Amino acid sequence: MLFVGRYPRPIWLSPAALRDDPLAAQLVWNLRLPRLLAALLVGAALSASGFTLQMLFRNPLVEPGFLGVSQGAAFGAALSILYISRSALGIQATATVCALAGLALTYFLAQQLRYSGWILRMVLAGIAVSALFSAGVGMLKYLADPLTQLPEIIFWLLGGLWSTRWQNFLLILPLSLVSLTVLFLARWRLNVLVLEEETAFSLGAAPSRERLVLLLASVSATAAVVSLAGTVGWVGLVVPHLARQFFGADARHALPSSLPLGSLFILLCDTLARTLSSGEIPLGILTSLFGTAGFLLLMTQRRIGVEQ
Amino acid sequence: MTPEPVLSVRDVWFSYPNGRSPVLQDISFDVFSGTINAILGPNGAGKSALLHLILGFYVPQRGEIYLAGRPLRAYSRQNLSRWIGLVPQREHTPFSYTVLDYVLLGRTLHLGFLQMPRPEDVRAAQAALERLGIASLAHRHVTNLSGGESQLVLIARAVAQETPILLLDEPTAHLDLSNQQRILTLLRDLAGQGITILFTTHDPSAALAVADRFILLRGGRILHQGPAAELTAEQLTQTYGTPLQMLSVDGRRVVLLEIPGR
Repeated sequence: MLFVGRYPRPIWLSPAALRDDPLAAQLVWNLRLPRLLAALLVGAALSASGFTLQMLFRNPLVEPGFLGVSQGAAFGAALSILYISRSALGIQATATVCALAGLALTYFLAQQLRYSGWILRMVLAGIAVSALFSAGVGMLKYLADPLTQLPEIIFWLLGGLWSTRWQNFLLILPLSLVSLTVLFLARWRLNVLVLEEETAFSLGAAPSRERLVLLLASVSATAAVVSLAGTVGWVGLVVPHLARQFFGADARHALPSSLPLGSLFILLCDTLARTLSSGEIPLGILTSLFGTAGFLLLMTQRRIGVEQ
Repeated sequence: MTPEPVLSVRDVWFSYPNGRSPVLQDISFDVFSGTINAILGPNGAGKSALLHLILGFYVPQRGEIYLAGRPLRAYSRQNLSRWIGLVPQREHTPFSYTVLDYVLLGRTLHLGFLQMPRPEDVRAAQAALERLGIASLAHRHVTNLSGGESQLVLIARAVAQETPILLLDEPTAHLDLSNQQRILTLLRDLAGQGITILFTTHDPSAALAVADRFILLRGGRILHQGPAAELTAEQLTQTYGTPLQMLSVDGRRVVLLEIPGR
């Protein structure tokens, strides 16, 4: 993938050019390599996060776009572009803070709701909080300078890795790696937390506390990669199902296998995003395209059980 | 001399965190080791709440529950799960686990937060399946089981937990007669192996078939309790608020609904 692109001619850059053409070397080492690594990380983090959220909410139709996490991060990024800082650090920091604020708001709202069970309350609160942040982003778009700020916000909302450099990749690396490690290590426990609260308790787990730890880990992973790549949808929904298809429902095997599957998915989408046309196709559009197609395929073949 | 009860519920009052009116009032009873105890009562009588209190999942506002002579609240969460296992009424999972992986969840208390099940846990899960005679289901998916098979798998999970006390929430509900027979026989076998059993049920005949003692709940209060041999039609009629008859067939008792005009 490192050698696929549109320089110096479409599709393929010969490895020999790395030695002869300083511009090609510069391009590969400083642009394409960090971008490739970022694609792997984004795919792994969104898949693991989606996998975890589906299990914690006992709901196969959940992904990080729920809970106000992705929309919170998007709002934070737009806010930063407009009013705080257009630097990578500024955007990422604000996005992470707003993603966590989105989760906290969802959590708080879910506690206040007087309707049905905890899981449904949390999903409902998540939808409301997501809508709130989306409305906020809509307002910011009207306030943005249509020539300089607006294109940046919009491209960012559609998702893309075009702006990835070593600096911002390394910036999100620690948080995403720590979060992924927590999810990976606690993956068997995730199976227990799928069960009803009383049952998980009777088996010796501390369901509320353990759920919160895993929820925080998956939200941090999402916020970190969303702050780099924008809102990249459908990966967190479809890849976990693919992993379960191949490796069974037990998170011991399915969660680790969802990591490379997600990485591969984003890597392929991002390679297409930067090579299909002379301009750049937003990554989020391609993941939605392939994600919905895959999702519909799984749904119509009844590979996803949604009855409760 | 009567033996010490393994579980002792004393003057317990309870209402749910969000609820105003108490779900259970003035509840007191004893449970002895290796016995089968049936909790009967109409819908909303507080049967499930009572199970969740004994589990330690909720704490009563008043009164105390003693487990092996010590107050329940003195036990740590993990220690409680060594004592008491739960077989929930029905469990829906949208994910298609294999039966063996599902029963393996019964080993949770033996494992730390980040620990994976060990070979001995897999062996314990397999042993639980064998003990219940469902080893052949091990590699089936839990999403493709019949009602009776699902119930057996849930019991197997609690058996794999290896607790001396088992709570079962309506274990025979939604089951056909042969599966009811299978589950009730299993409860008898488990009690024969020294496991103390408490189960809720809507079916007095099922309770009479296996239980040693009964507890009749109505409106969150205990109306009657005692040895199963002393259960009367009048007590059941009072509990369910509908006329019931009790017949004795070959020394075994069954409960009949009275349908007016028949």
